[in-house]
Amino acid sequence: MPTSKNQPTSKNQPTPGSAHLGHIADLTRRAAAGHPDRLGLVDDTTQLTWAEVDRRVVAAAQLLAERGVAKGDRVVVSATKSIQTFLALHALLRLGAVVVPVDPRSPAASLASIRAQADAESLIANPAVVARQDAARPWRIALSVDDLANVRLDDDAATAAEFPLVEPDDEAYVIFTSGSTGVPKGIVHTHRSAAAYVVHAADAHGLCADDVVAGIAPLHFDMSTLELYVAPFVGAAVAPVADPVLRFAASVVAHTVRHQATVWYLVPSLLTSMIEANLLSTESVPSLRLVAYAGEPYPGPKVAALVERLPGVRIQNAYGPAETNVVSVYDVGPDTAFHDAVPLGWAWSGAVFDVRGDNSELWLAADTMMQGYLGRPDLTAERMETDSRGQRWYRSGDVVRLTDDGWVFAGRVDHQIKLRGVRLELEALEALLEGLDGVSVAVVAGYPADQPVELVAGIVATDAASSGVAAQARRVLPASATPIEITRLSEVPNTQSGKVDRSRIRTSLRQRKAADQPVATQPVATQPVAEQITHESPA
Amino acid sequence: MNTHDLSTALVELINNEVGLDPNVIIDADTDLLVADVVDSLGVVQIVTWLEDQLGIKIAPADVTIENFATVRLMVALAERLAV
Repeated sequence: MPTSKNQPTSKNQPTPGSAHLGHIADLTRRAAAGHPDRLGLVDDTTQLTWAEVDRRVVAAAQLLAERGVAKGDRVVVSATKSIQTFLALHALLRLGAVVVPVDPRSPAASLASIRAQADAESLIANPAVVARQDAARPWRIALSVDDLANVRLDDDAATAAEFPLVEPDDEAYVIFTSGSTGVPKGIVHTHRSAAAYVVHAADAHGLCADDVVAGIAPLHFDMSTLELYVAPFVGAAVAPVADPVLRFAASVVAHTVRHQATVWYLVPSLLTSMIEANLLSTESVPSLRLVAYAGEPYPGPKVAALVERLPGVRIQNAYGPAETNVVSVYDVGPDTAFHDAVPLGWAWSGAVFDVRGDNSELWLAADTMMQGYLGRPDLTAERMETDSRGQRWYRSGDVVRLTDDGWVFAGRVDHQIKLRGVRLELEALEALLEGLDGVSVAVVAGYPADQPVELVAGIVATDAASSGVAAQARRVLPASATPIEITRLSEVPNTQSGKVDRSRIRTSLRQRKAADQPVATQPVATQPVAEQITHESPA
Repeated sequence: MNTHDLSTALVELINNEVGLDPNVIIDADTDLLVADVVDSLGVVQIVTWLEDQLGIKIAPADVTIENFATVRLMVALAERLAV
């Protein structure tokens, strides 16, 4: 394991891993008690200590309670990352309300589906999202994040504030991911599973009160739970990165320098953009001591390039589907074998790996595991089973193989891919495209194959349909899943059983794309880390 | 291309080709990122277009939110680099 040149001084304090945490409802209160005068939240214009953060969280929680938000209410939070959004989330949790993060760029239909499934009547959002709410179905409570941040409270009132008792089995947050049919499905995490993640992650990443975490992953992406919950647990400061900034690799680097961030937790495609644009070195980000990546496979040679750029920085591969949270963290070190993939390592404490079947599919049991899919016992039963000892197992769909360095990700049992960390089911996208008028067959592939950054599609369609298909596709698909190129297929190969041979078409779409662009466009700017979803994953 | 022409051409490029939402019409001062009209691929398209049209090279370190939030800022960057 590499040692950091910036080894934090408080590393000798008792490790948070041994602490007990029953819920995540009052993490800012804990931070205010343990580290009142340390920096809690910082952006370009504001610096708040943890004591100030907690006062504002209490004030915002009281305002929400006055407006009628109560324990157990599911509240949609559709906002870009900011200090204000952080305060709003913790205010909701303090009240025992359930946070349902939604990408502010989600199509209206997707927001409506999530709202209905979550039975949510309250919205906290970017002012623009509040402004474009559906007049036919107004929210009972609709507040902009700015409304909440402007509430102030004096010390006496803050001390006197009382909030409902939150229990470990209460829901904490629901993260929606694209289901295989295109209808979003909600992953329910309780305070128990969220708190277990917080305790394990603090330990595995060695996070401490001296750290400044650059808040890179968008809110609706479960990787954001590191800065939202683990940082206050250990008293580390958080410098949120607003989503538009993520489109500019150079701006993320500048943000890190401005706030002297020590920790990055991000998807590999953003690191790849930074390396290709020659933005990364120990001179360009001198404060950085830890880079943890997750969310999509990261080809071995690219990890090796990262290690070379950042000598002395601890590099970690974190793995775990959104359903289970992270379950393993592997420290990339001088002995790491950079083959096609870097190991996931071994299950961390609290998680167990079991590899089953001829295809070596990974099943997981963990104290960080979801309760189930919201309102969908059918989907939950498809993915989870309880063994004779009462242990619940989640079927990951990931194929793994064992090496001396631990488990290595070796593919999927289905057609799920990761695009810049966003989990996409190719069949779901194909079904949505095949639902358009005049389109009879649609096949979608990620390009390039080893670390996809864009989608290409092939369709069989009538003349009338093919002219407008790009605009139609944009209307039905999530922003993160819009193909960069849609090709009209003249012939469709069949498999021996007479079905459309999708895998052959996917290969030929990728070849066509490679042929058109002998020199790959350098993705200097990057997509937001995730548009809709979540899933930390293999590398 | 003078400042005015470059600005007009960029506004047209974004409204006609790069923009994500055909219902949103931008001008030189619209904040493209707040309005969510341009995503990262759009930024790459704009960079390539500027480089081709003006024969300039935009360094990755200059592709920042500060230089690309509005058409006016892009024009200012391009003119600095074209000197």
